[in-house]
Amino acid sequence: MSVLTRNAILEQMTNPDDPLVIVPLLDERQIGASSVDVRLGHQFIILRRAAVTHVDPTDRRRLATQIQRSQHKIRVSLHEPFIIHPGQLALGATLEYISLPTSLTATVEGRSSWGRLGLIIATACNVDPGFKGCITLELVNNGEVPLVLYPGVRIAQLVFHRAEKKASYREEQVPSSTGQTAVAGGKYDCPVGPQFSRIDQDDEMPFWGARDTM
Amino acid sequence: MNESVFYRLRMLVAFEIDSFEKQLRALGSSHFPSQVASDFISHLRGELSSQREAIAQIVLDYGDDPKGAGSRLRSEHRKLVEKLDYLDSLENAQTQKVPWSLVPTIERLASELLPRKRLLTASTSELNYGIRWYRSPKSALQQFLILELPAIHKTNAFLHILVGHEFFHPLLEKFFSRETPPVVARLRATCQDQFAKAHGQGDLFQKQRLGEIVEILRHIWHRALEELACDMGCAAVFGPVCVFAGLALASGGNLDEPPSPEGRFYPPWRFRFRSVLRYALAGEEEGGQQGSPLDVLARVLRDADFAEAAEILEQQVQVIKGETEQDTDLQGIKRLWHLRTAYEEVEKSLPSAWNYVKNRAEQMERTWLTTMKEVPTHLRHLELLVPPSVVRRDMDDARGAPASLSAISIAAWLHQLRGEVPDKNAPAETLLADYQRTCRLVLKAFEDVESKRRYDSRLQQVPTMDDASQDR
Repeated sequence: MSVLTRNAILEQMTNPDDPLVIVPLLDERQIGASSVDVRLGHQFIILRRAAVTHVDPTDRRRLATQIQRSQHKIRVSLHEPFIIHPGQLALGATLEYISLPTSLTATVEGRSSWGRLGLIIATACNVDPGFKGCITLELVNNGEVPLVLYPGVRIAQLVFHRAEKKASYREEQVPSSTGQTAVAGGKYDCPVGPQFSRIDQDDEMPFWGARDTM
Repeated sequence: MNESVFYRLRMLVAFEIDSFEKQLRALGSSHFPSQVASDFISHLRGELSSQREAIAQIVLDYGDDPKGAGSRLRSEHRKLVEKLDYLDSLENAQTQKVPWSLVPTIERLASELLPRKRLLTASTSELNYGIRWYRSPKSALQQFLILELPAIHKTNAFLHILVGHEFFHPLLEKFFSRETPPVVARLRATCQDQFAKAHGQGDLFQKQRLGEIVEILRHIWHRALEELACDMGCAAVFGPVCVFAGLALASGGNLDEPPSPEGRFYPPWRFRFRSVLRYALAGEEEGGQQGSPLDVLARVLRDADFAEAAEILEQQVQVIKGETEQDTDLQGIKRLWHLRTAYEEVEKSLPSAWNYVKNRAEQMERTWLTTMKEVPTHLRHLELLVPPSVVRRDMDDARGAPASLSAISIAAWLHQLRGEVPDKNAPAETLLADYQRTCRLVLKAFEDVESKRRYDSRLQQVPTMDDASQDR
């Protein structure tokens, strides 16, 4: 796998068959030597600690309710602050909608400038070939003081790698454990904001849980 | 007014103002997708404060003039009651209750057509779009318009094109003040003839009845023409998708429903579609070889290798033409004398209504006629499952320019209609998932267009290195 440089990124963006699309690209300077800066979007998912006792991903029956109760989607307008407190986890998303060609994969890396303020970005940092959507960012304030974020600020970088063979997040079909065909990994269908966890759709998850949750 | 009654009314009004104020304060801490709601709340609080002062003065004046003070207090109460509806509107304008990503777009469109107005977007439990405003020109409240969208269709981007229809309602006030007197005169003459035939020369009772009937006919004419003019205005901005969206909304009801008091004298949908096709989508007679704007759009699509989309467009227009060639709505109207008479006047007024809304639409920065060349680009984006938010000027233009709303809407509908044909037998869940995905992409595109426009205006304001060197 090789990292795409600026010219290769631009070339990929003009490929007529299976282009790399990044919209809206507000400023061409977002395309760096070997990465593309992405901005913070308008939507956030915040957690409500008091609403549930716990979240058990293996308890499929109650998981959806637990997630709905414990997580809350909000929208922050332009020039409006979003404050993330020390120790707080919030899900944000990139302002940019990305369409990755089937020959590229990408990694999301938090900008070090934010890291130095204590903000840790994107723990699930790999984006599959063929993925289409805004990328959900897991934001954690690991610092000592509350941080103010605004939609539109440059928050992370995408680094593109050429895949050895074509693969698609959306179309790859694999046999599931129940014998039926399932779409591999394609749990998130063209998201335009941060997505709630869909860990309940991992069909093997109940197997690993306490026996009465099967 | 008796002192005891005056005291009770005073307490009633004081309680209502206090409660109103508390609810406004609570709403003030809610989240709204734009500044309009906060400004509206501040304005209402200011009005409440003025009312409090006015009431304090009325109480002081009671001793000198109990009757006058009583009627002034009732007047203050009436003014307050008129504003109570705004609490519901504000409640339903909160971010979670409206298509938040669309609100900045709606506000920008409104500012183009209604430059001195502030638009509050709210949801309603009714399955309809609406706009209302405080009619008194003396009140500062008349600057705020309340646009209502059906809550159940919050994220249905395909239907929201119909907000274009609503924007034209406040614009038509001048048109009607010019158009109404001659129409009423003609209606009166027709009614007088009819009365003379039926009852001979009228006595005082007949004159009163005549006045009432003329007023009913005027109302039917006004309601029909207003709706038709708004439909045509919407089509002048967004093109054929207004009819597609209208048909989607109307498909659950009877397209021939004749105007009636129960239906608030709305014209039949079939009549509405026919008027839009006849005026707003037909194109100018002198169009010559170019044909109608719909023909031009079809050609643009074919030239960009979207022949299939062009066919879908033509088929859909044929479907709507087929609907409007049936005259079942007209039969319902012709059957009743009062409807027939009012609609004869509607037919006469339609050309001037069309000219009026067309002129207004032409003042906008962009309409579908000037942006249809973008449609193929957006169709391509939608095929790639990408929000159709930008148009690249050339291959080197990585950023692109913000797309136009009308072109996005047309592309979205054509994309959706293309998908429907081969997948007619697909499971309902798949069709719905496709529909919802396109809605998501379109709403995201609308949001991105606004972000891009704002950022671009910032780029234009920031001095560049070149500017600095020129200054030297």
